[in-house]
Amino acid sequence: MIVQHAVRFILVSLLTATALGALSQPRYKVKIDRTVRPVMRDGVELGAVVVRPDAEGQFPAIMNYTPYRTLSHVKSSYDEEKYSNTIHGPSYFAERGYAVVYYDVRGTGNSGGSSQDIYSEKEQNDAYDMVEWIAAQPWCDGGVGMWGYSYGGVVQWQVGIKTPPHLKTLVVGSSNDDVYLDWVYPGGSLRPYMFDTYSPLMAAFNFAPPDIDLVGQKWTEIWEERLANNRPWGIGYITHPVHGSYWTDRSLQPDYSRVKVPTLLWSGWADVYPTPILRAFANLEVPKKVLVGPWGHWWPEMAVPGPRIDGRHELLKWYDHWLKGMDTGVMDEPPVTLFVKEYKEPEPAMYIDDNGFWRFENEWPPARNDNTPMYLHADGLLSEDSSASAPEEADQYTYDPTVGATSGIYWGGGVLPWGMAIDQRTDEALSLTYTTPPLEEDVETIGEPIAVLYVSSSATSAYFHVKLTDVAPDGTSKWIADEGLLASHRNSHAVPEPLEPSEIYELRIPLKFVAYVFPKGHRIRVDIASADFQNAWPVAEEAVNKIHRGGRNTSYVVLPITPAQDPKLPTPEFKPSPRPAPKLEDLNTVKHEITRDLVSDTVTVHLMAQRNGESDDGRRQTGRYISSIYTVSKANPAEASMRAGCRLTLNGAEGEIIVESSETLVSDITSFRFLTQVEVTVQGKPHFNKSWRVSVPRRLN
Amino acid sequence: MSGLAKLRLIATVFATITITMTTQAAVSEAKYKVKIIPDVRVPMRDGVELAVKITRPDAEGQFPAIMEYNPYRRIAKPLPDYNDEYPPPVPYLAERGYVIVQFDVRGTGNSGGYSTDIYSDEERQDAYTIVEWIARQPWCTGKVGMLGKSYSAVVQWQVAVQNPPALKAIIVRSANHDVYTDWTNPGGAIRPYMFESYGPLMTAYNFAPPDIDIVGAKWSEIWQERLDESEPWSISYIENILHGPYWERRSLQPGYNRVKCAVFVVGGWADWYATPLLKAFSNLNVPKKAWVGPWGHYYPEEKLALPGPRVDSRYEYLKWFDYWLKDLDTGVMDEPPVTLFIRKYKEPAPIYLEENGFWRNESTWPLARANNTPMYFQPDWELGTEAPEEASYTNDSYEYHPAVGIAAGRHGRGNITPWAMPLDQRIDEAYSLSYTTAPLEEDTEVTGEPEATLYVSSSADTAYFAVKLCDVAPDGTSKLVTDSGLLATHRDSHTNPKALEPGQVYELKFELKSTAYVFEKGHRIRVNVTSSDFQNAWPAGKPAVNAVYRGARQSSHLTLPIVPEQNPKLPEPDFKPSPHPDPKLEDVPRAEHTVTQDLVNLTTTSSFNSPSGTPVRGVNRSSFTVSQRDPAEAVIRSSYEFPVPLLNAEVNVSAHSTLASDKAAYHHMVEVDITVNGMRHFNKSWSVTVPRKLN
Repeated sequence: MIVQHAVRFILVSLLTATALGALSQPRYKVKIDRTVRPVMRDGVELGAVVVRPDAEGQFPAIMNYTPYRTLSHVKSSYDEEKYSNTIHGPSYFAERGYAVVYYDVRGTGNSGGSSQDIYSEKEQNDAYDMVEWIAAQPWCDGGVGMWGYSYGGVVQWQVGIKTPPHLKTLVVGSSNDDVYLDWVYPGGSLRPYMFDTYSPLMAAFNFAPPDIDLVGQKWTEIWEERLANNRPWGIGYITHPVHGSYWTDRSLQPDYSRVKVPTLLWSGWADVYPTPILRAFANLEVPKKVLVGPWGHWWPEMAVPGPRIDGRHELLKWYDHWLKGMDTGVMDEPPVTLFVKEYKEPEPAMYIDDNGFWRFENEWPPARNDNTPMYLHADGLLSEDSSASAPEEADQYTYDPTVGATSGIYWGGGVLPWGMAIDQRTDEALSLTYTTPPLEEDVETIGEPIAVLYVSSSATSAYFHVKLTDVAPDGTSKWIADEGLLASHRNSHAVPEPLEPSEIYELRIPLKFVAYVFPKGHRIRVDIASADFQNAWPVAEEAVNKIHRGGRNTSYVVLPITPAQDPKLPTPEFKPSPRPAPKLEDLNTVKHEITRDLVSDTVTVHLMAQRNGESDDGRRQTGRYISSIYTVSKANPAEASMRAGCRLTLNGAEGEIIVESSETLVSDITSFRFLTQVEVTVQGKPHFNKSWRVSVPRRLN
Repeated sequence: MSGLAKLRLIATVFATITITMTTQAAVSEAKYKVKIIPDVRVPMRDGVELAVKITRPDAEGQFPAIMEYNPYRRIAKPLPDYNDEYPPPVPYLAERGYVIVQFDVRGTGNSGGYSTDIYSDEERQDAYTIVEWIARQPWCTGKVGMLGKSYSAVVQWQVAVQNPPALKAIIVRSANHDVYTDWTNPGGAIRPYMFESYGPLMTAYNFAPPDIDIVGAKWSEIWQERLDESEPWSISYIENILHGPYWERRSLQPGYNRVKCAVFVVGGWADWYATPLLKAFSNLNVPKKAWVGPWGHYYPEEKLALPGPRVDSRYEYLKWFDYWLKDLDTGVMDEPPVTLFIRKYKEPAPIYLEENGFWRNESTWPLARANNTPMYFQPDWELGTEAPEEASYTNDSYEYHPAVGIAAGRHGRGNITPWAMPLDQRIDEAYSLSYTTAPLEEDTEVTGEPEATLYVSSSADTAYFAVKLCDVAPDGTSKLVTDSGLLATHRDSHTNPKALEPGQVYELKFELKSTAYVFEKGHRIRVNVTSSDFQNAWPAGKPAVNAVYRGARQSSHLTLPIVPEQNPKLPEPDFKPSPHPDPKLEDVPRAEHTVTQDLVNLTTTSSFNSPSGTPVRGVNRSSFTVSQRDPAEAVIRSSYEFPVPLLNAEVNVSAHSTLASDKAAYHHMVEVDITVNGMRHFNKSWSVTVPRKLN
């Protein structure tokens, strides 16, 4: 029986190896060491887990870290049966001869020390120290790569630019390259998600205790230090509303040349960061490859929207090449792999499967693109015809802070896979819209749209938001891309400048990148408004704003129109996901409601997400409940408020511990006021209670 | 001139002046103290005793009487200051020599008996009986009038058509003329308000105990009969969702000729019934007067009669009754018979303290000089006077979205008055067909009853069409001016609905609500067509793609009564100001009114809580959910919580109501739960299922 199994195994391996170039085969049992505690340069001990081949010898290592307490849910033992059928990445790579190391950011999870800010300098130094620590371990051959997405992707730039000598490659999933602009303050406006979900979530996480099974007797000391010294990360976000060193210290931009190792980048169109991933790809000066699928914020094996693929296989091709020197053929493939999307009716939840097809390209954006300005004309017309000979006119509208009810929450935010953009029409009713006639043929757009608008305002501050939509024959308007810009940040995100009322300014607003086919018979539309409230905190000043067109003020949006690929590159092929298609109901229990108060003339977003988890051996249950109430006021745009909280319920050997954060962020005409409070109860008894308050002046936002 | 001639001249001049002054001041003076007798009991033909309250001059002699009645439990111990009694004209008229007789409908308030239906046969007979009783009283001259608002106005028609000989004149403040089409089922669709508000409110009221201070020892027996025998009125609403005898015998329409007394109708543009009042005015063949102001459901002098401007209607009431009940020549019948507030553009808002506009007198309604102007639906979403030349069957189509009507406001403001005014229509226009004129070259007044003729088809056998006339300001804001709706299956009859043939084109005629509105130069006139107005009409049950035709032989159009300047100009209306100062927004009790879109389940819910502190205690809460995925599924969950002091006990009457629809039926459930000092005293529930058909 075992012999038959082995023979089959070998045959399959050989076949696989032949078909796809050489590739590491799964031939190791896996050893899991859960109580590793590397010591940093300042003496702080981090909690780490090493998942490596259970065999003699030295192996390349891949490193990952986040503050998300993932160590608590580490599998307690290796089970071949279970593992081969799961997406558990670490074991997949360990079976194939890699040592996978993942650890918790200091001050979080099972690590010692404390944390007052996301991506702190000490945290970045720890990563450098960890790369070098791993390289020095007896089971490591001295080569260390990284892997991870989201937080685990962003930090790879931070580590990469410090150039630890033993860092050999990065595999950056869904990461930004400018923490301020891509994540916290897009276009200069605060992203509500930071306070409806991320800040309260991390406030609860970062005051929660370590896992006693992993830290043993150090449990009390680690937790007490954390409670005494941690600070909710939201304070850092709200006290740095303009760009500057706080943010550049955490970001790759503007100097991509600081990355010196080969980098694989991947993301999904429904995820947070397809745009910065492609932008980084285009700017990096190292061997590189990029893969953007249709996926939301998950690993490709389990993501919605599909189609799903086995992403581990793509990573393996890369690591085998750059950490083991094997000729996997990965660098012979075209460097850019994209899922090109096609029309599908908008739905509030991510599709189980999107419409579209896979495509290789040789560069990003495709060199053959015809970057076509589409001009804004009178009567809501959008056209390739220049408006330079049209009379100089303006379309005017009153700033309405409640525009954006249909935009969804970018990438689903705290309520993914829900929170998608729906039919845009009720927002379009309150926006300026410019639409082409029905297209005479399919129009493929793969690249970087950019809006160049000539604007004026009656106020000294205003926000301009542009949406690109696909209008179906039945009138449904589907969100394709968007972006906004605080006009006071038009020259610099570091030094806001007021507008002169009624003066005309040119604003350049790069939109999110696209890979989309507008079908024949559909129409291309541009929406312009001065709010997108679910994704940008409303500007304080009331205003009447104008978009100028014609003559010298030829407002336009550049569409990257992509002609047919000639010669045609082969169609990308992938291993299928080992998992069955997910069901939406299994992914998350959420609430996403938008309430218009018809008496006080406000709009409120209610969000709730609940997730319960259990470790595989049943010894630890975690419940996570986040909810928020965010209100914007039509009558008083300056007055917006966010109330949010996260309740983390931990059940394990320590008994029941509840960590609860409550936060409020309130704006008025002069300031933002932020209050954050963390309470801990242990077995029903109060254990810790602390609150912080900050006030930040409003600056032309 | 001789000395004698001079004297004669002086005398003549004096006499003329005196006569003129006397003519202008020929109304009764406020010369009486007022006495209130709150606990009179009058037996009806079948023995049931009605609770009657008399507010009268505290003096000997005979006076004309004015009757008012409703089921709203208004008969109570007199207030410390009689000037605070309600409605405002009551103490005012009593001071000036009238006896006002108010009573509670049988089975309600402090009256005996029980009630299973609104406007029951017994109730209408009781009113006739009371008129005759009044006329026989020693303090009555034998002439009787009626006043009242809302219920108390609707019943005036019901009494008038019975022609009690003593009834001489009525003032109808806000009444419908067809209970089905104006109130419960406009256009054939169920009005959600009947089940969100009026249903649970009257259920709670009608199972609540009487007032011991008024009925004394009989309270227990009165209450028990009510608990044993009454039924929630809403059961009959849901059992009668088609027109027929049940509604006809409660309605004035079509038998206007039955009314013989003098009629003064008073309406408000933000109120429920300006349209049926004006229709009644034009159809009645009796001495008559019509007055439509800007107000919602209030007496125009009330402190919170919003929107203003507020005026003292009590003086107008006096002029009318002095003429018709006292034969005083007040000049009321020399005035132009129609007085209107003409509205102008004001930015939509959830509440208006004041409307924009002006008063004007007219000599007829409708206005003789109105030019009924067709405005055709044209290509490129235009609206204009030119008939289209497109091919037959040219049409615009749209998918039926059940949740359109977020900005519609509540007709008549519902139970959350004065809130729930209509808002900027654009968010609803996203799912409507909109046809708009070019900017107007001059002010254009539309006063009268606009009409719409639509040629439509549907992919389903059932569809509802809502038509809205809007004023589009230069900044793009779209303000609702007037509207109408119709279940297309009721196109020929509200009694016998007929299915639509999918794809077949039908001609539908709509009467939009009456209006008096100036579209200003530079504004645009817009008409919106869609297939729901969910806050005001239960959604039609079938998914559909509907089309509106604008080709040569099916030229959908509006007909607007466009009114040139009045020439010659009639004298401007002149009113006495309200006795109250203008209210501030902070003075207005706040309601809660929200519309919530659930972006996971794709439902839309309209919820409200009535403001606290309204004249009758109690809180009405409701939520009404419609489904974007399945239009057949809709549900109202509502309640009325009514605390009632009884001796030293706290009685709480709680009425819960549900109306739910699915593809096959409507399900209505009512529960009454009464606690006394927290302990359960009474609990009863009713449940009825009515098949759904072509609605």
